[in-house]
Amino acid sequence: MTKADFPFLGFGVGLRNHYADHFRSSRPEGIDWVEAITESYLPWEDGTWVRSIEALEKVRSHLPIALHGVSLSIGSSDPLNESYLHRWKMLIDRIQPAWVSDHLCWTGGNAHNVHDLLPLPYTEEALKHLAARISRVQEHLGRRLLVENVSSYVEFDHGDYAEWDFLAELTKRTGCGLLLDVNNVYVSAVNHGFDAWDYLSAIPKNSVGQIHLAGHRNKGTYCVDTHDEPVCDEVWKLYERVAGWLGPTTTMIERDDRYPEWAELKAEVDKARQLATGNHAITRSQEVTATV
Amino acid sequence: MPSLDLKKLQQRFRRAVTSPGSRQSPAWLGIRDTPPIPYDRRLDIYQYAYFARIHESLQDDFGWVEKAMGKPKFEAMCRRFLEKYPSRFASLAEVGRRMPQFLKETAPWKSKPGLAELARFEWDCFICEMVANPRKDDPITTKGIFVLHPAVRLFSSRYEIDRVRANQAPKRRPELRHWLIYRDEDGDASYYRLPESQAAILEMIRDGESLEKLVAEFERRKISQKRASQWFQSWAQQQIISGVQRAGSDQ
Repeated sequence: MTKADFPFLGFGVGLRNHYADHFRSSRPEGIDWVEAITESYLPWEDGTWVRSIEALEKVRSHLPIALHGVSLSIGSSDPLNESYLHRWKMLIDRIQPAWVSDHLCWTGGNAHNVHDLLPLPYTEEALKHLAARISRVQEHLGRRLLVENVSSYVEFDHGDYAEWDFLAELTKRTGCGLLLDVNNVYVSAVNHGFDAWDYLSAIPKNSVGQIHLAGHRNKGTYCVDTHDEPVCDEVWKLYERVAGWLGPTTTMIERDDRYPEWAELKAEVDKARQLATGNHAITRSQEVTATV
Repeated sequence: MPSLDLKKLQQRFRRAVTSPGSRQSPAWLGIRDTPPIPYDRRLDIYQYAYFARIHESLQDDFGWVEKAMGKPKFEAMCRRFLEKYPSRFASLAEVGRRMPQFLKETAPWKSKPGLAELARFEWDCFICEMVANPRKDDPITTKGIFVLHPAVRLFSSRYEIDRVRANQAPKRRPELRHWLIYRDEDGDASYYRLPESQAAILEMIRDGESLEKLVAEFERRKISQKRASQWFQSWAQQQIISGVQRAGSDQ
């Protein structure tokens, strides 16, 4: 397992319309890269390119971009959506992202996309199924995929693995990397009653290509992954610990609703940088591996 | 209970998420019922997210239809729409594609056909705002000499869209009326009524008709060269015509 395909890009944010003005003409101060949602730029089923691709190309001219998908549905028992794969490849060829990622989940099925990240059972059957599909996707794209752990609200009766062991085994069988969402680990830990650090410390270090940080809603007895709040203290603590353990790892803040002022979001990026560099004294020379 | 295979488990779980009232026991669904959160509350989170996300997207796409119907009725209509036409799209933006058809064919909305027409108009406006500008290196597939900008939509209806929008129950007219929807300088969809003759010519351009056929149509309609020239100048200024293609060229 190597991190060579996922070089350290530094610290960034999710590219969202709300903040588009900050990215239009130049790299915003303190932002090293951005993550764009694949489906917002994917050509439509009839082949139509959407206008947002033009803005993305402008951003790409001055910042590294990673494409992050929400509809690959890699865990679905339906056949892989060939149209999606084809259009995804067209987008990748046009944008030349640093890497591409999607979620370890399923989203309904080819005839019924629920547009949500649904949980998988951690069984041997699911593992074999996912391994075959991830390998097929990686072959189609000609590059390694980063797979993100999702937050979940239910667990299935039958499972052969703990989630973290399932992820480790999946990376071993396919060579895919992990997009480690620290907030999702925290949310699932609260909802299912496990220790978040047990999860994080079981992840194969060299497989982690990127980290997500985000906020959630705490409902008292459970948490909902909403991306509409600042990153909470508990998640920051986990991040500091995991960043110290992993070493320099590309990190970004996800915010998808109740958008704060840019300065507030930027302060979270600065905090991530500070916590990570506090642990490892990440130098500028390491940061400039963020090659465009 | 024996474990469910992945396909069966996903079928049951999806039904529980997308069809309120169809829920079975946690054992049937293959999920754990562990305190402190009851299993149905856990499923509620998925069920809420499923509808809320798509509903919000449809509200964005069909704001005039929502205003004409009222929010509660629009929400109820969206639930029916998703039952009949669940999303098969990767992008949320495409989910509303079949809304005009749904309103046209489904009771009780089909008794107010102006609503389906309004939805069709809004969808055209949405496409107008969404579609990318042509790229220099895009292959031009049209056979014709003029090329409509991809954002331009030619809309025809027997209903007065502005009256439907204002919930004024318009009468169906015997003749078709025409509108041109284009992207303005701010990137928003704008529109104006088109005379039938201009609509006919623009439809011919859209469909890639040859210069000879366009000239013949002008002659048939007794439209002078001067007037035709004024139309084309105006369309070019508004970027309704985005390019001129040399006849016979494949570039």
